Amino acid sequence: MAANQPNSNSLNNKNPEPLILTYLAHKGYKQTEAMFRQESTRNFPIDQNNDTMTPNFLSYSNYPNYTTYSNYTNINPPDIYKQSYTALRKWIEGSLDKFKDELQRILWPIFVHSYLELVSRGFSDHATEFFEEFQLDHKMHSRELGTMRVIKYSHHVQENEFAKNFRSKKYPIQMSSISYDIFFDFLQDNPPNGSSNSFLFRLVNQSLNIEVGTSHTDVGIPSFSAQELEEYNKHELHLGHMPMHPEFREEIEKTLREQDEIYQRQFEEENQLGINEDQTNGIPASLYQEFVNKVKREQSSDAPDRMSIPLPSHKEADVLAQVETIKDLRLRVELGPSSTLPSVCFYTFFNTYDSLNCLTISEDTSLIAGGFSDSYIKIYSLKHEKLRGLRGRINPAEINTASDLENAREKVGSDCKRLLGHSGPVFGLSFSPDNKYLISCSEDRTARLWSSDTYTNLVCYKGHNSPIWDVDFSPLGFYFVTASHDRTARLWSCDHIYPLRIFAGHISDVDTVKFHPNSKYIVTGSSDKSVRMWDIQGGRCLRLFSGHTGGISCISISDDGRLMASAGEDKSIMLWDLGSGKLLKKMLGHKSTVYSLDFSKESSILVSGGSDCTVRLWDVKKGTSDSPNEDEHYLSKIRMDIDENRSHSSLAKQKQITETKDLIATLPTKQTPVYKIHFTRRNLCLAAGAYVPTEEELTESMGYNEQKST
Amino acid sequence: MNGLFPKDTIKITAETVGVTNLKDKVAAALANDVEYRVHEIIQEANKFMRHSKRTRLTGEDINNALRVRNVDPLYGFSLNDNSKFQRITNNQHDLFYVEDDEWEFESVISSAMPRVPTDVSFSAHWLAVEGVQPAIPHNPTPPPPLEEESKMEARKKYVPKNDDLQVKAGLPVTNNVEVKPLVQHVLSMEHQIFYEKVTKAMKSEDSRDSKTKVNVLNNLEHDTGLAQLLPYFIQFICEQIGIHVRKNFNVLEPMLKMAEALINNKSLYLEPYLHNLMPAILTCVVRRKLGLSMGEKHWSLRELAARILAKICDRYGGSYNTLQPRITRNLMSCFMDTSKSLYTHYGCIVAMGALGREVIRTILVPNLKTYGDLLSTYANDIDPIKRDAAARCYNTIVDKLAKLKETVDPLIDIELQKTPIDDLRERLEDKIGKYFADGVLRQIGDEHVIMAIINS
Repeated sequence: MAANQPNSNSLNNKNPEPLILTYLAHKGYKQTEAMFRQESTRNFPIDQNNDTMTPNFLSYSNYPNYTTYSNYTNINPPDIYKQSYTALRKWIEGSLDKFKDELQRILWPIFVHSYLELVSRGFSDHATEFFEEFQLDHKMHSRELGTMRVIKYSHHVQENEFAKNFRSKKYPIQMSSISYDIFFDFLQDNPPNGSSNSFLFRLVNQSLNIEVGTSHTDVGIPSFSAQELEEYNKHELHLGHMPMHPEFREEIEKTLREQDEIYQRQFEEENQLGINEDQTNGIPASLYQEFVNKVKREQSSDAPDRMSIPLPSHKEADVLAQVETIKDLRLRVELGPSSTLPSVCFYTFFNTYDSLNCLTISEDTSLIAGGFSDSYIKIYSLKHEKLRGLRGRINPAEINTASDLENAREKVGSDCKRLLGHSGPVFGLSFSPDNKYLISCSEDRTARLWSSDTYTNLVCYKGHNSPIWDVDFSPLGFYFVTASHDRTARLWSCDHIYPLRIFAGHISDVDTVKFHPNSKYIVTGSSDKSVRMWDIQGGRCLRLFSGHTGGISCISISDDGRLMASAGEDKSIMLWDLGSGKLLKKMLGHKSTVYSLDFSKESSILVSGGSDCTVRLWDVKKGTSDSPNEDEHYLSKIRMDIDENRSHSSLAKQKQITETKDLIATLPTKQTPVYKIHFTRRNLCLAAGAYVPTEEELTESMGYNEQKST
Repeated sequence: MNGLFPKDTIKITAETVGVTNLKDKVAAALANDVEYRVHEIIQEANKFMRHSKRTRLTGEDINNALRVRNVDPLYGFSLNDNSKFQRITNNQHDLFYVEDDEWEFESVISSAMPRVPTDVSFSAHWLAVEGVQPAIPHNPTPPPPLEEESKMEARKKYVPKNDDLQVKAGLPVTNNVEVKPLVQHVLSMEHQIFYEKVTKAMKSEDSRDSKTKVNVLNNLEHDTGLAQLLPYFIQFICEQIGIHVRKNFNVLEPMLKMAEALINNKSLYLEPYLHNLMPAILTCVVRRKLGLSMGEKHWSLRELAARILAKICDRYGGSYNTLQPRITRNLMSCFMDTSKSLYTHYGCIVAMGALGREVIRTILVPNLKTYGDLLSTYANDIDPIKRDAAARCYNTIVDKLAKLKETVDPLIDIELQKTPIDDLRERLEDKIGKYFADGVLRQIGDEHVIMAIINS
């Protein structure tokens, strides 16, 4: 082969053997090499020196064309990366506008791979030069650029998460068949100036996974390709509601009928006595009927098996709680983008001095709890009542009636209860659905269960070996799930101090976790920019949602269990269909990280809040396939936005924040980042956040303090 | 390679742990590795910042990150993030250190304990009612309409920053302020403080406060969140004018300016309060005596009041049909009342002039003939003050008449060419009397104006 090279110098033409030997050695064709030696010695005496090849002999300058057929990276001079990249960039810039966008996406993985290869081969200086020269091409991947910049040694490449990820997996790129053909032609073409496209060919082969098809969002790190994802997301799911225990249901029905009768009797009595003057007011809707209509559903085909999740048997209190829920259902306001928009009640926290980390509101809207950096949790009442915990020493045998229980409580309550136990910042909180318990998680690697009757710590769960970022109670109670810095999520039950399941698979921190309404699944959001859905029974990952361009900070699943919204650092909210695992739409408008999301109870409106101090209302239906008329318009808008971000020429332009059309309203707060959005059962939206005083206000209050102290 | 850490830094650090004569190559290699490790720590710290829902990295975040990486945390940086880095240059080497004040032990012990910071508290309000954000003090004031914004930007340059006026929401700035509800409608404490400050500044006659006054007026004109306070301000203005109109002339001008600022404020809707405000302003226009001593300044004050009057008519005349007719009727009756002083007449004249050409044409001109007789008697009065006042009235009227020029039909030129100048003069005298006709011809002399007067 070497002999066929037209530009080989005269020495080679005379004596190609050493070159062939070198080639064979580098390719690792040991047997062929031995054979060749054997055979060639018969013809020519081979100089023993050739075995210990002098560096001069192999120096790149002597054999410029060696690289054109060599696959061995060490042979490639460091400059070739720059040359190839420049050639590719120049070619892309010169291509037709129509294909430019698709082709430009190739540059990023080539850029990263070139850099990492240069570093791992020890050409740090070349790598830095390469990086400095071309980093402006990839401004939209600024976070990754920051990580790359400091990778200077091959051992950095080996241990860096980002680099490992990039080198272990091929980068998926979607492009149309025409672009693909053009690109392929370019790679095969040998340009006249003698630069080497075949090197580029190798790089592309090694690092890219080109799929011919529709375009897809560019995540910025290697992930699964669209086909792989599609294949992956074919697992069967049971998204229906968890059926009730038959006995439990009977008991509820019985109680409801009794209540109905009482109401009926009261109503009739009032009518007879003429107390009820408002004759138009008919008999209040039957609670039982309400229950049948809204809660008790026929066993749908995709309902999960009740026995798959063992739960403790129900208690009297559970029945009463369920009855309360049904009463609330009667008072629910039907919300919709065209009918009534939600009312938002905002709780502003003052004097937190940046130490409030998280907030949560109990299901019955009686309590709000906050987790603080200084490791304690505070519980406040939202009903303007004093919180009265049960006193320490009580004998359960003596408590027989409600008044006994009342007597067992503290005489004087307090506005706020402080829970002490953690030894690090508290990052996540969640109330149990019966409001009796609160679960918290912290930097100290533990989760703790607290009682909201006694306001004391009941259990401490140890198991994670890194800070825990988030926690969520199961909608059926008893179970909870934690998300941690150690890249796992774990399932626990309240009565075991060790985890029941460990969900491992994310390649970076698991930042947020949420139960599916039927408790059979959990979804986790991670810094690796993906969302995964897991089966809590089998512990398997069933769905993988990829498309965000930043870490995920919050997830919400609609009450019907079909839709999921995820949002995070990339300021966009994505709506997914859980059944098919497909992206329905992307909602743009937030100017900073989104902290919290929640669906209204009938899943028609999504409310989001974030660090840009706004609460935003979104139309869930608009722009999805349900309304095909608007679909096209909507998508074109999104595409425009993405193109703007991508095209190099417009990078210098002021980046405008576009809002997609499904944004119904933007409600700004006064310098208060929104930590938590919560819909009550009656469809009232509650939002909460901590007020951030301006610098002046801070100094003013400090100055005031000092004045006081002197 | 120029990394974040120069080789020298590594060498110096090495010396502190007892390693001397570190080779350049080693130092350079270490520098790059240190940079990588520091970056790793910052990346971890970033996670802690994000989960604390903050946007500013603190020393505590770095410590948490170090702990996660199994490194000893750095003590002494977590308390306050106010630590500042200082630089000193020594032998062309930059040295950085954290500024650490020296404290006298004695003084720390003897000083009083600092106040315990206020405890965390929370409040609830409606951010939205059925999707609409109510305009309550808890919610941010709506931004000015878009087309206004560019104008506002331009203006902002000239608006001095009024530090002494800024009252912040949320944080209880001072605990000394007594919160007293003015009426059943309870104002927030911030609004009350603001109101106190504004009224105090505007009442003050101290010349040192003049700058504050300018600031206050600027604020009143541009602040979009004053709707709550508007009735109180209107009441304040009316009260002050009522009290001081006899005695203290100096307060009147700031009050009028305040009213003007409120009218100019695009985000305020004054109509419900006009019935309160109008009498006060009319008083300033037509009252015989403004304040005890009658200096020269009262003329300009009347002009200012007249201007405000015109502005109100301009802005609210459309929605409040009877507003302008009522004002003009008032003005006319004063003007025609011979028993009223010349000052009153002057006020009426400027007000009518400010109200526009239509008023001049329909009210002023037809009455000039009779008024001329009255004015000419004053003009020959023995009292020089009266003579002066009469001259002012006369000149103003003539000035205002000049405004009529635009009302004239452009085709009038043809007619003008046909009419001899003497004829014009005759018709003018016939219309407004000889006394004013002289003035018009002498001071304006424009044929168009004359034709306009004649035709009106």
